Amino acid sequence: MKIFKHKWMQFILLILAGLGAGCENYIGDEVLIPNIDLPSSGQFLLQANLTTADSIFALRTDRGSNVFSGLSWDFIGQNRWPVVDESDLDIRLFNSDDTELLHFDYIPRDERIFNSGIPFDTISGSFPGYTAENNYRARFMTNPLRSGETYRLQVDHPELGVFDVFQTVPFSLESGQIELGNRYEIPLFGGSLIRQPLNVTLSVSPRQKQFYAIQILQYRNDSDNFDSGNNNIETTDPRIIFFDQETTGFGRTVFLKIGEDNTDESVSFTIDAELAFAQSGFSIAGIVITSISSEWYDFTASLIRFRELYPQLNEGFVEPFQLYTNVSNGFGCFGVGYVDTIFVD
Amino acid sequence: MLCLYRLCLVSWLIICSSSLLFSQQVSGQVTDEDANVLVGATVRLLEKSGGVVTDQQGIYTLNLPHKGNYHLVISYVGFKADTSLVLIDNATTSLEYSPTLQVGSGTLMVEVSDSRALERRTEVGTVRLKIEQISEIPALLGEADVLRGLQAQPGVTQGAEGQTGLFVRGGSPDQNLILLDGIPVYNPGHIFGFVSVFNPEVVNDVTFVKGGFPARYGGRLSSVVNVRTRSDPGITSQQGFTVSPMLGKLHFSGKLGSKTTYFIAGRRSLFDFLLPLFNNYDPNEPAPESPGVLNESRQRTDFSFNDFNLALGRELGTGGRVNFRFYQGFDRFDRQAVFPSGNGVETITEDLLNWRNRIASINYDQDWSPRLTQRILVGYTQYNFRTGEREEVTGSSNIANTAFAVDYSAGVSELSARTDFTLRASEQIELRFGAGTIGRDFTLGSFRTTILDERLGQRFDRDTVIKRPNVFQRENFGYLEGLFETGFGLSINAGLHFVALGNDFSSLQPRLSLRQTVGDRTSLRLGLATMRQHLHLVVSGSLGLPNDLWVPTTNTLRPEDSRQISLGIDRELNNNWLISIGTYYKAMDNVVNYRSGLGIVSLEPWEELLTVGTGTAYGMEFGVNRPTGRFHGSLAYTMAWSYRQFEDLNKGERFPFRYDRRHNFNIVANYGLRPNRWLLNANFVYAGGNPVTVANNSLTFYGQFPPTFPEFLSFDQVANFRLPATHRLDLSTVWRKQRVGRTREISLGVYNAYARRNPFSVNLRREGTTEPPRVRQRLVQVNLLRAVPFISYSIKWL
Repeated sequence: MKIFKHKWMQFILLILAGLGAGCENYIGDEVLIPNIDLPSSGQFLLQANLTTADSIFALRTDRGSNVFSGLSWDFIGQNRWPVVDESDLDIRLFNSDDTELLHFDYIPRDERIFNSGIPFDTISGSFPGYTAENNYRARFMTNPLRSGETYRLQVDHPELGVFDVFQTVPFSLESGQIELGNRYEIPLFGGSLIRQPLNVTLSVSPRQKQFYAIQILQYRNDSDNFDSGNNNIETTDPRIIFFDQETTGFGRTVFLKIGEDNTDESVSFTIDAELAFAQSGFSIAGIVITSISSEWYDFTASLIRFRELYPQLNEGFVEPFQLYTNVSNGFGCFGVGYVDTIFVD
Repeated sequence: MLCLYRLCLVSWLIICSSSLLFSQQVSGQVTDEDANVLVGATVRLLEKSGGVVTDQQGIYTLNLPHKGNYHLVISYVGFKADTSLVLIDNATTSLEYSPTLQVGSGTLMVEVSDSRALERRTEVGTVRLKIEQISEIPALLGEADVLRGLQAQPGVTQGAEGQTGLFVRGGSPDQNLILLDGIPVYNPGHIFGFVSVFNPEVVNDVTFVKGGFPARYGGRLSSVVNVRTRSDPGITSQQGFTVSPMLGKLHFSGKLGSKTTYFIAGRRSLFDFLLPLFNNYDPNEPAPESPGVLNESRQRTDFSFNDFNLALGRELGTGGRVNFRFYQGFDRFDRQAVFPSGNGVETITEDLLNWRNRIASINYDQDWSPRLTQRILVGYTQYNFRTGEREEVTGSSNIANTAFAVDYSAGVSELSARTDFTLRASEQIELRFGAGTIGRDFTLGSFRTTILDERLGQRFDRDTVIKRPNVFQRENFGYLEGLFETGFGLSINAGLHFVALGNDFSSLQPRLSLRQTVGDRTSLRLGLATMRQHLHLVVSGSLGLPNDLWVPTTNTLRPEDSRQISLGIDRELNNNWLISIGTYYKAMDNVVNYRSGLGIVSLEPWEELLTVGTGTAYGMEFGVNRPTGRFHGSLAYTMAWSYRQFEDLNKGERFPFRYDRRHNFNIVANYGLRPNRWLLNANFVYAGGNPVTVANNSLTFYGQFPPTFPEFLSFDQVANFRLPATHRLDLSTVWRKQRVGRTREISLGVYNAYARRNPFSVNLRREGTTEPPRVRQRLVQVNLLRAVPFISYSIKWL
């Protein structure tokens, strides 16, 4: 055709032919977005849940990005958590009058104790298994936390600046009762699982949000040690929202939320408790119930929710999930709680 | 207050009666060279102010003031104006004049009257595009695209790079009422939205309303896109086909007898015939025996689309006309892959996604008199999709065979009936009123899970179906709309739109558009509109995909409402240039979003998947347009802000909408190298980066949670990162050869001519550094379309 004899058209055809030949490289590729790191990949992380029953206040600081994840263990140096273990932070707790109550000191690694009592292994330079180390602590003679009082935890970080987080200690539980049901047995993997219902009645304030963390105390008949067991919870009361961290053997704490729509002065529910090592003669002694701040509850609830949703979060067709935090410009949680213990009669 | 109402009523009657004093008329129908009717053509007298525009059938009626000589000017954007001398004497009562306008493209035509008439229109925020104008914009695959043409308009933000999604004045895609001959299209995209469902061979014109909504429109918050197909009375006998490496098209049109017309068009992808060149797996054939081949992964992709349009029309002896239209479009994507893992064990995966639109309608048009016309429209539209994935592990008899499959389907269908009346009381007053009813049936998702586990001679087989109940919704509506031309340059379109969902959620929505002419070449415009919609589209992720879910309004998910105000000024310059500047503010209530961590794959009850919030959008629009001339084109710039706020997301704080692109720039330039023979077209697009949410925190809490679950990914804020801006230049050239009764056309071009890496999506990647020993999290952008050439050949003959 005459049109293809025109120089303009020949030039266009030449370009198109070149593009067509290189088409495979020109449709769909991946490149790094240049010179852009994620804006807060080194964000400050705080995990500090302090209660009126603590004998030593301990907390953990880290960087919000698990920067070493995905690399080999050799590179990481097995299970060294926190990843960014900084010793030069200045951490203090102030009351509402701005009086300094506590000063937190850095804990050398070989003095740390994992929360189940496993000591630090100086040979491997880590805790055996997976651990969450608290790397700052404060000792005191008298617990300074008071119900209704607002406290400020201040962290002065040499690189990231000053972080202030405020918390108000909830009030003590007015009263509570527990009643044990009959034990029953569930066949499992050739053996059996012993469960025992625990009926709990708590006095609460109507039309107020209240949050509790509940642990079950179990004891061996031949020992003085208490151990919190695994809990399954069932209830038909729609006012109560339960979060059971784990029902397969790892969970220790049940989180409970009473909403503003509750008009009653008491709530009742049943914890279907799994007895630890039932064959060894464990029995339920009571519950430790901690009135926790809403921030503590929201943070823990978001972690639990994240884990529930985890399989589908990787699908890419869901709304991104945001963990709760009350650390401005940082990440994590400073929470406070008031601890009560209720024993079985 | 009663006195005020009486005063308004008396004023109304005076205006109406004074207009009815005119007794002499000229009327007719305006068509183009292909006998397609021209909707919205301006008809006026050169010697008098005021004028009328043609209706949906291209018909006009213009009252003449008194005897004398007048020049009747009929003009339409993109066409040469028609000027005729009209002689009126005392004996004349009515005249008929039906001109045929010629395309003005490629010729140096200056018609001042055209823009003057435009100023007098009562419409504010409305754009009318002929398919010829849209066809001049270079497009992906060389396929002229209605929605891509609308993306070049001020106030419109493009979605993901390459897709045809419309984000109008900060709205979301479900807030666009996209109509095919008056019937909604629930998913207007083929090929995951890269090509729209509208076959350009079928389209006649497009009306796009983004502000100052006339009362006859309702049901969506942000825009109305009404695509009209070629099925009107003036249809001529024509056939043609188009072929390119990517797709093929075929169409036939003509008359059956003297009163019946037909139009048939079909389109099919052809790229799927090229895909076997890249496939090395066939599930119907035995596995290759060569061990070397066996150890390699193999894959197969099937991807195709097709659509079909049918239109039948018949003139009735009563002065009426009945039209039947049908559309069906279907997309199929199926990808299978085999991953060997040694010892004869293979993992076979399959991803499947099909989606389909079906639309059928019958409309009846009746001219009861030169002043009163009626249209009755009954239509049905259906959209459904099916998506699934399968994973199967096969091996020798002593190794486990397992299979897992998930199948999910959902959709929506709608049956509607409406009637519309148009009363042309005078050349200054027109009344429109109507009513209708819509029944919607939402299929909210049916999940089927199949599990097969076979090992050591024992077989475990489970088939689970979870079906969410369908929800039916009935919506009734009515409207009254008045169009007024006052004698002092002020044009008014005022109306009320009423809608109710059964006995609930009733709403009265006032609408007002004002246009004030200042001097000969300038006009000011104001649009006020309240809108409501009774359905929501919930989008998974940041891309608009076919498996996004339509859900109805409930007591929890209340109807979406919006209030919009827009202001602007239009100015006509010399040499047929038009310039417009405008601004808008829109507030939206009850917009929906998936809750944090939930999406299309979540199995929760559907109402629990969603959260309700508010939206705000505002911005400034600037447009320059030269519709005709050897060099013609347009320039559009939009500076826009769009935000959403939900109690459950982003700690309750406001965040930018997923397509909050601050700066949007679009230039379309067309030049007739040899008028009507050889055209050069260019399209430059710049769009600011859109926000995405990227996990920038990774938390570890060993000790509280099992070691199998050590890491929590999170972020500090929703929409915490903006992708780089996208820009590209599309070029095309069209060579056209016309002979008597036959037109041939070759189109060559390239999409994204300078191969810009525009981000389509973004992924997270970690990379290690040794000094210091750290890992950085980096963002990786996925680029999809770089320098995509296209070529097509088409021929049409009578």
